[in-house]
Amino acid sequence: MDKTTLMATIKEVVQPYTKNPEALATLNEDTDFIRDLKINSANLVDVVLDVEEKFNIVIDNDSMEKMINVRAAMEVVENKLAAS
Amino acid sequence: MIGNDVVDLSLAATESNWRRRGYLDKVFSPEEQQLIAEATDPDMMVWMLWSAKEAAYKMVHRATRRRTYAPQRYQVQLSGERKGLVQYDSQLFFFRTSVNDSLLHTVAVAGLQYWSKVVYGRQPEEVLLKDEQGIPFIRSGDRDWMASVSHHGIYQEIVSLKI
Repeated sequence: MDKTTLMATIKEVVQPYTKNPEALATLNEDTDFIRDLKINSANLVDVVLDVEEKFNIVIDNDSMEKMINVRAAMEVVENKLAAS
Repeated sequence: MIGNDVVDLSLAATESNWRRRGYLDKVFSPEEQQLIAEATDPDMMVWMLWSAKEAAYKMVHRATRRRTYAPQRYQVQLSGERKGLVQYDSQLFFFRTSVNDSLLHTVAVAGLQYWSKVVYGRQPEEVLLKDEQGIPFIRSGDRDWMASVSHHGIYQEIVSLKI
């Protein structure tokens, strides 16, 4: 999967939990889920679960620990897809 | 050190579905899930345990300056109906939770001796500031104190440690 498609899919996943539409519109690798998108930390669990479902992967706790921004989420998905 | 976390229970009921498949396993240990399963008010238990982890994380973040998302690394044990401790690696934090209407507020400290130094709210002459990493403190005249701020829904709570 190319990076553009991957980022677009992550954007789609975070959309329902995002409280800052401006930051969503300009989403890039540096976009922080909590600070920029203002996603409630309890909803980050939903983001992780939705990413798992979307890509049919399992995200272990060590990987989830890093998922605070788009770049980290993309890396986790790429690593899991490469390993599967 | 001090950390706090606020949950607007009525907002949490609509914006978070902790009953969805896989949710509890990402956040809570088997022991914590047992507490939730046995609770008379499972929603309250979920958010109390969650807020205890968040409040402890704020202290770990303050100390390490590292942002992580690792709720499973914070193990909560209750020592009373609305209090207990959070273990993170070899560190222990102590928390107390209060509930008023739909406001759930948890405050945690890094040692029991700090409870007497916890101040709720902010005086008019005190200024709430954040350092370059977003870690809050309260300034009054030429003195700075550690503070923690949390907001959710219609609620916001500030606590500080006056030592």
